[in-house]
Order: sequence, then C-alpha cells, then structure tokens
Amino acid sequence: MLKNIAKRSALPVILLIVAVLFPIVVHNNYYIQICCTSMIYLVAVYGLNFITGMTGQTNLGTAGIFALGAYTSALFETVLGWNAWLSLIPVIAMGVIIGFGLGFPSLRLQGIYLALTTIALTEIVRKVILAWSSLTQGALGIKQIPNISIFGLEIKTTTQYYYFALVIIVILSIICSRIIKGKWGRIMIAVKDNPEAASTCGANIVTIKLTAFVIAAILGCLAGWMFCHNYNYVNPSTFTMDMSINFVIMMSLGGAGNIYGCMLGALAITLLPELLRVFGEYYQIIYALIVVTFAVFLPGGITSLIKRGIDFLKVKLRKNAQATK
Amino acid sequence: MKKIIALVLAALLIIGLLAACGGNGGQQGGGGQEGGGQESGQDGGETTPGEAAGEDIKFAVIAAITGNSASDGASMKNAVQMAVDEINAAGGVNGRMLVPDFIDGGSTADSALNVAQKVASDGSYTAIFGPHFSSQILAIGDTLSEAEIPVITGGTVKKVLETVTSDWVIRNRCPDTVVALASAKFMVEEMGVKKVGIFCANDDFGQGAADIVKEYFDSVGVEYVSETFNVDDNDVTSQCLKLKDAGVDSLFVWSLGTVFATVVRNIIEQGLNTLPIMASSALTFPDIQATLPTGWEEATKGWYVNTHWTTDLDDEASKTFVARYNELYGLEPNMLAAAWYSTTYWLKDCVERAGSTDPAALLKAMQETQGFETLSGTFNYADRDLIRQILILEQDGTGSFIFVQKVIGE
Amino acid sequence: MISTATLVQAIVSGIAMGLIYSLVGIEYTLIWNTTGMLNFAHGKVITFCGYLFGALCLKQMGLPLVWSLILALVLAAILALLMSSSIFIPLRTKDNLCCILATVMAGKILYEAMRLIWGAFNVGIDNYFPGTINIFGATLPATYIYVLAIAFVMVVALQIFLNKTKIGKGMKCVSQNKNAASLMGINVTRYMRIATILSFVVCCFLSILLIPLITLSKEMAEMIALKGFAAGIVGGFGLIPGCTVGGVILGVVENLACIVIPSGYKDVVAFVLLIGFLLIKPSGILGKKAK
Repeated sequence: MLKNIAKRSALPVILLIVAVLFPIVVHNNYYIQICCTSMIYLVAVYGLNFITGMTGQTNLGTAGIFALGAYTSALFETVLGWNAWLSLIPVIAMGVIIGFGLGFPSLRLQGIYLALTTIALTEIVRKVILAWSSLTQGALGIKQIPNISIFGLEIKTTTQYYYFALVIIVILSIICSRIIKGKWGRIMIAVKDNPEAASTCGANIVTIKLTAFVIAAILGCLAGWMFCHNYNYVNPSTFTMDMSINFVIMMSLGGAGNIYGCMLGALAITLLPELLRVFGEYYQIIYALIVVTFAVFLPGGITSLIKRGIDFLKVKLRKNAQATK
Repeated sequence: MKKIIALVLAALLIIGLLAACGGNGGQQGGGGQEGGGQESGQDGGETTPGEAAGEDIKFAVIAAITGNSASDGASMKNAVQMAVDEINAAGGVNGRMLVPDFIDGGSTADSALNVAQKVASDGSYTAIFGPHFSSQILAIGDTLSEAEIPVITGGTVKKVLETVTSDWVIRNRCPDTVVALASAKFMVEEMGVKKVGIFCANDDFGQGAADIVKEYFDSVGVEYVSETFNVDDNDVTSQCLKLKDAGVDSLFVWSLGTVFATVVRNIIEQGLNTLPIMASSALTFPDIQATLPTGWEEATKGWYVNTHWTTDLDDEASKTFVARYNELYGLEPNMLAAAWYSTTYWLKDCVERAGSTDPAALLKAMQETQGFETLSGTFNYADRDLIRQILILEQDGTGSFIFVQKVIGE
Repeated sequence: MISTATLVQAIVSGIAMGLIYSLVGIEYTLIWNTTGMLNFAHGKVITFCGYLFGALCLKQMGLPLVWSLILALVLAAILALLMSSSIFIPLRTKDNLCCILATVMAGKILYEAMRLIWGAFNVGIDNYFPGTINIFGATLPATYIYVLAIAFVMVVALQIFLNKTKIGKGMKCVSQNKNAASLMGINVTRYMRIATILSFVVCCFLSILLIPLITLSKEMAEMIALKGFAAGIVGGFGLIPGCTVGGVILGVVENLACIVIPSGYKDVVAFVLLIGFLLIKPSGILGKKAK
C-alpha cells in the first residue's frame, strides 16, 4: 500500500522539489519572474478549467474576472487602506457575485452565445474601468498597491513572491485535484459530454453549472488579487480579450481537464513568447503559428499526447511481457 | 510502469526548462553566484559592464515594436539606431562602440512587465532607454530602477513625477505638468477663451493633461466642458455635438496616435475647426499628417500646437536630421524620433564626461547636465527632468508651423 | 440643452454607422450559416483587405480606383480559399473552443503580417469619396452614400443569390442541415469555400468603405467587428435581414445613448445590448423563437 501511495505521489513530489529548488539553482530574476507570472495565471487557468475544461461552458471572459479581482483588491487597499489579507474578503465576494452573474445566463445560453456574452462582459469591464476614472483612475492605473505581509514579513522581492505563490499553488492544486477526481469532477465531465444523460442520472445541472462558475470566478478573482500584488500596479490596458484568449490557450494547449495540463499550459504559454524573442520582430507571428498548429492538430493538448505516448508504451511493454512468457 | 514513464518525461521537461534558463542565464556576469549579503534575487545590478578600453557599450531600448503603439516604437527604434550608427561611424564613444539592444515592450502595461525583469536582471547594460509610455513606466519604473543603472523614459504624466521617484529614472521630455499648464495658460492669456471644450483621449496621456488643465481653469475661473474619447474610437461625432451644444468657444484637444486623425476629421465635419484650438503635438507628426483628411492644412489653419520639435524648425541640425532620417527610412521624423535621437547623443556626452560607464559615475554626469544642446531644446537636468521647456506653434494654413512662444517651466 | 439639430445628427449618423455594422453582420453570418463557425478574425480580415486595397493597390502599385477594387477582390478571394482550407473546413467538426482559438490566432497572424509587410505606421490614403452630404440638416461624409448603396445592393443581391440561383440554394441547404445536404449529394465543403469567398468579398467592400471614414491602421476594424456581433444578436443571429435591422438599431441607440451618458461609455452600449438581448430574446428582433 505504501508503494501505491509512493507511486501516486511521485510526480507531484518531484515537481514540488524542483519548484522549491528552482530559485536557488537559477539566480536569474527574469526566469523567477516568469514562473511567478505563470503561477498567477495558473490560478485563473484552474478556474477556467472547471468551467470550460470540465463542464464544457465556453468562457472567454476570464480577463474580465481577473480584472475585477485585481481592481477590487487594489481599490480596497489604496482607497480604504485595508491590508492585502483583509481585501481577500471583498475579492472572494466579488468572485461569488460574478460566478452567479455568469452562471445564470449560462443556464440558458450555449456554445457560441455564451462565448459572445463572456467577450462582451470583458469588454464592458475594461471600458467601465477606463471610463470611470474618478473611481479607478482610468488609464493611469492604480499604483502603490501595498505588498502582502505574512506575520510582519513583507513580500517584496521576486524570490519571496515566488515562494508565496508556490504555497498558494500547492494548496490550490491539492484542492482542485480532489474536486476533479472526486464526485463533482465526474459530474462536471458528464455535463460536458452529455447533459441529457447526466440529468437523467440525477445530476442537478443547474447546481453543477453554478458551482463550476462560482469556483472559476473565485479562482479568477484570486488570481487578480495575486497579480496586483506582484508589481503593485494595475492598468486596464492589461485586461483585454487577448488575455482571455491566452488563458484559454493555456488550458487547451496543456490539456483541458487535468491539473498537470493546466500547469504545463500556463508555464509554456508564459515562457514561449519570451523564448521566441530570439526571432526579433517575428516572434509574435511565430507564436501565433505554433498555437494555431496545436489547436488544429492537437486539440487535446500536450498531456493528451503524453497520455497517448504512455498508453502506447504500456501496450507495447505488455505485449513484450506476454511474448517473453 | 505508467508512473515511471511519467516521471521520466517530467524530468526531461524540467531538465529542458532548466537548460533553457541556464543557457540564457549564463550570458550575464557569472549567473550571480556571489549572493552573500544581497537580498536573494536582487541580481545583476552590481556587476559593472566591461570597462576595458574598446569594449562595447551595451544599452537596452525598450520600444513598443508590437501592439497598438507600434508606430511610436518604430519611431523610437529608427531614431536610436540612426544616432548609434552615426556615433559609431564617427569613432564611437571614446573609441567604444554603442550597441543598442532593442527589446519589445509591447503596448500594454503587462507586456512591459514581462520585459522589466529581463532587462533589470541582465547586468550587461549601461543604461536603459524607455519605456516611452507613462502607463508602462508606472508599471515597471520601480523594477527597472532596482537594476541601479540610469533609466531614461518618455513617460511624463503627473503620476509618473509623483510616484516613480527613484533617482535612476530620468525623463527626456518636458513634464506634462509644464506642457499642459503652459498650453492652458496660453489659451486664457493669449487666446482669450472663456468656455473651453476639453477634448482629451481616455489614455494615460490625455487623462493626465485633462486633470492639470481643469485644475488651472478652476483656479482662474474659466468655464469648461469636458468630453473624452477612447483610443480605439472610430467616430467622435457625438462628443463634437455635445461640445457644440454646450456652446464652447474653444477646444483643447489632447491625444496621440491613430484616433487623433479621427478627432480632427470629425471636428472639421462638424464645423468646429474654426474655433480657437490648442492641440497636442500629434498635429505636427508627419506620419499622422499623412492620415488626416485631404485639405486639413486649410481646415486646421490657426490651430495652436505645443511640442518640442517639428520638421519646420530651420536650424541646421534639424534640417540635417530630417534629411538623413527621410533618406534612411523613407518618411519624415516626428517629435518622438527627435527626442530619442537627441537622447542617444546625450548618452554619449554623459559617458564622455563621466569617463567611464560605471553606473554611479554615469548617473552623476547625467545629473550634472547643463546646457546640452539638442534638437528638442536644451537639456538642463533638474529633479529627474532633462528638459522643462515647450514650444507653442501655430499652423499657418499650409501645413507648416510657425513659432509663437517658448515656455520654460520652473 | 439638447438641440433638435443634435438629435437629428445623432440619428442620421447612427443609421449611417449602423449600415456598416449591418455589413459586418452579413459577412460573418455567411460563414456562420454554412460552417457553424464564427470567424473571430473577421476584423483583421477586413483590415487586411483594406491594406491590400489601399496600401498595395492604390498606393504601391498606383492603380486607378476600379482596378484596385478588382485586384483587391481577387486577392481577398484567394485569402478566403486559404483560410477556409486551413481553418474553417478542417475544424468544422471540432468543438467550439478549438474553432474560436484557431480563428482568433489566424487573426493574430494576419495582424502581425500587416505590420511586417506594410510597417508599423498608419497609411494615409487620399479620400476617393470626398465631400460631405446634408440629410435633414445633418452633415455626413459623402462616403455614406456608397455605404447605403453597397449595403442595399448586398442585401438584395444575396437574397436573390440564395433563393434563386442554384449555387445559392445549395448554400442555403448546407446552412439548414449539413448532414441532409451531403446525403443529397451536395458537396458541403465546396459550398463552405464559396460562402467564405462571398464573406471576404463583403469584407473587402467594407474595408473600401471604411478607409475614407477611419484611418487605415492595423486596428481599424477591431471595435466594429465586435459590435458587428452585437448587431447580429440584436437583429436576429444568422439572418441577413436580421443583421441589417440589428446594425441600424445598434448604431442609432449608441449615438442617442451617448447624448445622455458620458461619452467614454459609448462602446459599452453595444455590449450591454448584446447581453441584454441574449438574456431576454436570444433570437433577436427578427428571429423566431428557437427550441
């Protein structure tokens, strides 16, 4: 039995060890920051995974949710002077509100219509933040957002932020992984694959969809909360439809529906444009070409490729084992 | 079995990632293993770029190569490259060649975030040019200043002045507090306006100016009506109509980029172009003029603009600059290009005065800048500003701008 | 406070801009009906056609207006074949997300291609529809006459085409039921290609109309493209007359709303309308209640 537990937790433990050692081995702030950014985006991608990867509801509005989380936190801290942990409360509350706000329409709208609704919401959020400058300082953004402090230790440097984000990711990964592998996860996938069958089996579609949206929105807002404390600055120009699409790419490329897929996607998509900079002016178009190729030829994402590879090897090894018998 | 294979694959992935990191990390001074005493991760700032005689002077240029502001990034890149080529052809800086490293900062606040650490932790740069936009320097100014090398930015809205306070960050354009104020004062004192239509873009540039101008008008008791537009607006007719209905007797138009042409077009269509108008420098940019409606010269006659520099300035240096730039790039330069061309030459001057590229010495030389003549005016360092003067010009109906006033801010 | 002149101008300008939205609605509806995919790259396609027409044909090659138009249409058709073969047809069976991702990325490729080919600076094109017109006291750029003409011709021509010609009827069959159509021996992919070509032809005309109205820049059709979706939803998604009605209503409501609310929120109006209609009457004004 211990062997089983060891086998199952081998991968996560190894990843964790690598993650912990990473800033110690690699001293370069640039790469540590890329990991920080990946982790922030990963939180949002976990959320997106619940709605789109598993429950199959098209959501192109993650940037809007992210923006609302970031701005809620920024405003409560700069205007009301709350500290970062206290502002988590309105951030999560915002997540719940958005979750229900998006969840109810999703009951009536499918596929492309839901996609359009979420796009419209992102645009509305961005434009309102821009226009309502008396509240949000508009295009100038909100600066001097205070750092997060843990028992007096202020999280200032990139490396400190890295470990802080890592802790959050570990906690969330465990929680999300439990949900995905548990009852909720299975029902969500059922709703995605065959809503009629799922409801015949007694699943309450309404509750599932709403739950998925609320979880996703809370995670999205949480990611926004983390984001605004990274550089202590938020600006509406960040939260465009491009960002929403990026989140979807992260989830799809990695492999929808599983934790490792999300991790891989978040890291790869954050890292890829940076690695492509060697191509100078052409790096954006090459990035787009790579993503399009993946979208067309590998819609299941990289983890599906890995899974296929593993299964293929499994079958082959089994055949060999049988042959030698 | 499955797990072992998964492990192997994961390990390969990780090794691959680390290799990629290691490959690039090796570029900088030894990967920064000498941690001791530093905050972990505060790397790269302590190593001094090659002092040996003849070694290249590398500096980063964060320009908007992609995104909505790609034209501004192109102007910046063209200008710096041209200046670098001229300087190197003339023997470099004390025999050392300038090597600019153009890095795409994108056009949004978060695309700047990606490059901030890349540039700050590189360790081989003598200075950083850019980012040009206020929203971007607000986002990454603090991070860049941790590199402890001079950062020259074009971001000059009031918020930048107030919140990006590191001595390492120096501004190469007149602060908006001076420009907007001077323009507003000019409107009241010289143009004699009583009810101004403030027509500003909803971006960092426009909003910053609007705040300053409103404050000034309030202080002198001049009425105003404020309308805004988004930088991706295709049509500002409704705003023009509202200003018309409010009975404004003048306009304060503040915008850059593509939308400026739209605004001018709609102002002309709605017949507001004959009012006394103070416009931002965009009207003088040749690349924007090319997109204005036919007959704009006649339609915008008598409009005032505030800018550092236009192609109409008839001093020798400007004429040569325009001719060379046109020859190289097939279009005429704008104020932005002039500013960054000047800044590159100024960097050369500072290195020469400092006698080295040691950051502290270089910063000191920069702070001692007085009377350095450039295309855009005289650089006199004061409080992290290189220049605090602006020109007010009038469009004479043929597309040329004639000098009216030079305003020097305190 | 608000003069009648302003009101009239707002309504007339609104109808004029609304016709542009209608054309946008028409071009993506053509592809949506036959392939079931929404072309999220349509804004970039319109802009790319604009560059082909304005920057390449008019400016670089110096061709006269009519020849530029013809060449641009031909090039647009080639682009349509490229895109339909690489994206619309291979992905038509895949799920929503895949299609959205692929079209958005295709748009990004077009966007970057524009910057790499024609440079970062906006292109100045001499106005080939100069002058202004006066309608009920409202001033409009003369271009809008052509907008009205082309919109009218497009709607009429498409109705005739779809209902009277063999190819058009074939396309209609494919729109209504792909499986049945292919069982009847109709080459579904052929009609998808034709639909894409038609769509891109409309995009080309749109770009020609937009250039005198808006500066030829890489972001020229971004907002218009998104608002085009709203136009379709408001008027009746998937219906060509629906797009026309939706577009005009959107244009007028936008302008009128702007009179009372701060102008910065103008763009929000379109999206609020989109969400509103989707929640209350998803089939739009002209649409029949589905399901």
